Amino acid sequence: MKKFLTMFMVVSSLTFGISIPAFAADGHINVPVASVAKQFVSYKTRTIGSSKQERRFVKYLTSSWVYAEKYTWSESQSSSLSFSGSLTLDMQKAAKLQLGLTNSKTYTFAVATQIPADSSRRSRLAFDCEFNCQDIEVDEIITSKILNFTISQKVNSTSASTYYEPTENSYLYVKYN
Amino acid sequence: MRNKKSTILYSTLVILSSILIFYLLISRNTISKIHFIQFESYVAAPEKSQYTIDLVYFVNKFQKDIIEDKNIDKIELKNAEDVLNISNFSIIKGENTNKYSIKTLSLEIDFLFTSIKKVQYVNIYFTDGTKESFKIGQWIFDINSIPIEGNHLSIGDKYPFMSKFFDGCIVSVNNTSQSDIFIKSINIDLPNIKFLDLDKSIEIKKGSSFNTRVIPDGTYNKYNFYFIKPKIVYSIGEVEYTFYPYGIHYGLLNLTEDAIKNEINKTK
Repeated sequence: MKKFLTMFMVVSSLTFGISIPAFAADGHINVPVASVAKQFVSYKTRTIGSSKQERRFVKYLTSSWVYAEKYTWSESQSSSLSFSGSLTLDMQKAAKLQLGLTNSKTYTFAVATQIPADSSRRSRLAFDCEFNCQDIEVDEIITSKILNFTISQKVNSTSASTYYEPTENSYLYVKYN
Repeated sequence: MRNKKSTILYSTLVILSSILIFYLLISRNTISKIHFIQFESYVAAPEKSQYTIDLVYFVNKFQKDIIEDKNIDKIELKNAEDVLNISNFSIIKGENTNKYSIKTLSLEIDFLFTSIKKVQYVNIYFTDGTKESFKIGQWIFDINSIPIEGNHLSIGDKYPFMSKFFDGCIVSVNNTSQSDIFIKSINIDLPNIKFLDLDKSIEIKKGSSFNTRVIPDGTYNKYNFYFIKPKIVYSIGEVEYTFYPYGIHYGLLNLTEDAIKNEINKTK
C-alpha cells in the first residue's frame, strides 16, 4: 500500500505539479496542505474513564442577598450542556453529535409553594442540577482527497475536556451568604 | 339560490356557536372533582411549634373549583385534630396544563402535643354546612417534646427545598457553635420506606459543614411524591439536642402531563 501510494504521489507530482508527500515515522502520511486538491477536517471523540454524576450550581433565581423569611418561585428554568478545557466550537459540536449528548433541559416550576428561609441570614434562591460528567479527548483528523484517493491524517493536537450534560434531576434551594 | 345557501350557512354557524356557549356555561357551573397528590410523608417537629405544609391538588380548569377561601369554614387533618391545629390556610394558584389547574392548599399547622399521628385525609368544612374528605396519601407526623435550646446547627448550602425525584434524602448542615458536634441519628420514618441507621456518630468540627444523602434500604419508586422533614439528633459532650430542618419536596419539580394523569388515576 505504501509503495502504491508513493508511486501515485510521484506520478501526480509529475502530472499535476503537486509536491511529494513523505511518510512520517508513525506510519501516517504527511501531505503538504497547500498542494492537495480537496481537504476536510473532522473530529473523533474518545471517552476517558467512566462517567459520574455531580450536583453543580446553575444560577441564582433572585437578584440580591436579602434577609428573607420565605420565597415563592414559579418560572421555568433551563440548564445547558457545557465543556471545560479548550475545545473549539467545532470540536464541541462533534463531541455532542458523536456521543449523543443532550443540549439542554428545561425545568418547570408549575407548583406554587412557599419556600422557607432563615431570616437571620442573608440569602438568595438558587438552582442546581445533577450533571453527567465525563472526561473526553478529541482528535483532529485531516482527510485529503487526491483524485480517487482519500488519505486521513491525525493531527498531533488532541484536546482534553470534561463535558457536563444536564440530567432530569434538579434542586431548588436557599443559599446563604 | 346563493341567498338561500348563505342563510343556511349563517343559521348553522349561529346554532353551533350557541351550542358551544351553552356547553361552556354548563361546564363552568359543573363542580370539578378534586385530586390531591398522594404524598408519602414524614414530618418531624417539636411540640408548640408551627410549620406550613403544602398539599398540591389538580382541578379540571374548565369546571368549578369548590376549594375557595370564601367557601371554607374550617380545615382539619382527619384523626389528628387533637394534636394538629390548622390555624390558617391559603390557596395558591400554580400553572395550568392542557386540562388541569395546579393549586396548592397551604396549611399553617400548630403542633400541640407530643404524639405520633398517621394522617390519610384532609377534612374541609364548607360554609354551607357540608364537609368533604379528600385523600392526601400517607403522612406521619412525629411531634416530639420541646428540645433543649441548642441553636448549634443551621441549614447548609446543599440542603434542597425541592427536588425532581427521590433518590435518598439530602441533609446539609453547618456547625455554627463553638464546639465539635456529634450527629447521632437522622430520623426519617416514611410509611413504606425504611432507611439505614448511621453506623456510628458523625463528628462535625466547629465551623464545619456536613453533607450526606440518607439512602433508603430496599426498593422504592423514586418518581412518587414524597415530603420529608427529618429530625437530627446530635450531642455536644454529654448533652443531647435535636435539630429540625425544613421539609423537602420530591417530585414537584418538572411536573409532566403524564405524572399528573398518573396521580389523578389514584383518586378516581
